[in-house]
Amino acid sequence: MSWDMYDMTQKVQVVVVAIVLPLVILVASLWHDWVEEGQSPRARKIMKDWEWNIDEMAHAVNVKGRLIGYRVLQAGVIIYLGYSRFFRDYRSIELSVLAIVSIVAEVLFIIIKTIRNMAGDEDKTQMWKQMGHSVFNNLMYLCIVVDVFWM
Amino acid sequence: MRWNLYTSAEKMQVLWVCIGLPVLLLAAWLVRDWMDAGGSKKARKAAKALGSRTDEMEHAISIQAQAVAYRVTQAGIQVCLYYRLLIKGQAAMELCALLVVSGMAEVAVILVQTFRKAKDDEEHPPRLAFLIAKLTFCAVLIGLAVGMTVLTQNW
Repeated sequence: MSWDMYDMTQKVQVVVVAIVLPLVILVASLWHDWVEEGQSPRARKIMKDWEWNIDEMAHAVNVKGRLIGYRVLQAGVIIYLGYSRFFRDYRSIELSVLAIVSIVAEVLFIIIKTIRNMAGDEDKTQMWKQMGHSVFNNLMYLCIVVDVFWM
Repeated sequence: MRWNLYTSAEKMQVLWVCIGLPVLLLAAWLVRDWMDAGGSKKARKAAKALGSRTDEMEHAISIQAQAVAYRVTQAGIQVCLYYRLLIKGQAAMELCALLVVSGMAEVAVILVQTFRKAKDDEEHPPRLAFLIAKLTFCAVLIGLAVGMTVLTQNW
């Protein structure tokens, strides 16, 4: 079934499932990651109040799992873009936009956090260098995504 | 152009772009992350030999940024999947597969690493309640993607 075949109630249900549900999941997972990181006093307080005792090892394992999941997803996006372009003759605009949005989110996060952390640090050259390195890597990925999309 | 319209040389190029390049990128990312994390002696040695220096704070920032981007991508793919299935009425097996594969990779890493580390450290057994909660979250994401794909196919 497609959009114009739904009645009003079904349209509302579709909007809830297609937009609200992923947004709720996004907010919940970001909040969960923030609490688990426990870097701010507020996050630590929530952890304490909820008796959410996570040891360092479990946290390191989660971070690793997330990281590998992310890398697989990034490579999968390129495979999907290539597949839809070359095998099905269709340019997947949604996925390209998504890849760009996630890269922009990552780059912005790196820049903001680095600049905020730089305030108390005297040796800024090393931090600028590493921030530049991370941003450069993300821009390379962005170039590949755009390239595969436009091919 | 579609697959059956390509010449043999073009098919090779397409395979390289669609499979060779992403696999190579994935391998390079995983090696770099492994070196940056410096969890093993080998990783630290490789990082030293290659002159790759990452300070702890920068590493923490980069990991947080990747976590945010991962969550954004996961939610975004779900939106794309539901948009294709429910609004455009098209099949979207590939997007579903993408979510399932990345979710399964995350689950596999968590399980393997938890039990490997628990083996080395018998004094601190893994916290099963926490592990189950984590795995349930991944299973819900995978279930939502697969469930909706299967449901809409039967409409």
